[in-house]
Amino acid sequence: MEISLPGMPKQIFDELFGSKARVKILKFFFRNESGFFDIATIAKRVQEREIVVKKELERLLKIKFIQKQ
Amino acid sequence: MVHLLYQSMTPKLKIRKNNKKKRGRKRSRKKVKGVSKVYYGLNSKFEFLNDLRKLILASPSASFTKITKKILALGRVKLALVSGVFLNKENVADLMIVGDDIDRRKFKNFLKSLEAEMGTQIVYAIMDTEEFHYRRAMFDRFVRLMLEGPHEVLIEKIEI
Repeated sequence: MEISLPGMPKQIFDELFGSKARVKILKFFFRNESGFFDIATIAKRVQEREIVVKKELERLLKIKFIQKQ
Repeated sequence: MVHLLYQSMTPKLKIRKNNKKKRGRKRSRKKVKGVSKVYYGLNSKFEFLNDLRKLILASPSASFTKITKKILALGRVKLALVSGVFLNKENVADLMIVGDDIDRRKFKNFLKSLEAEMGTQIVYAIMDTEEFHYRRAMFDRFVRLMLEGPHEVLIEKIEI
């Protein structure tokens, strides 16, 4: 783990939201607010495995943070 | 050589910006044709959308110390600055690197992981020291805007 001042802010977010992948996916959607993307594209853009992304998307879908098209 | 570099760099910047905008539209058109792929996008009716957006976009994406270390490993880097998406401020590019013998393959990998971390494509410019001095001398618009606009210097081994 990298120690950075002050208070290791990045790790705080990863911990708070449960996973690094989830934080990246959330960020991806906010940075591309009006776009719709398939799993392969999202996985490539956030540099995570498709299976991981798929699981996260299902969670986000369940709470209606994202929608399918 | 300087001229060639100049030509090859400017269109790249534009292309990347265009791609970003087109992607969403193109994909949704595909779907109308009946391709069974599923596309995911933000639900604009999500209750905490605005609060969450504030939080997420304010969250530190990548520590500058880490980025600096990685940039230094790319080659003989003389100058590196971040702007735009890294500072949540508008500028002509998000990243500018000046240096010689930059390992392009390494840079590509670095960019990919950085883009993943940031959640968006990064508009960047790379040039060698000679080109940088040339552009400075001729008051090149891109370099001028980059240096005059909001930015943070990561590496500074030559005077700017």
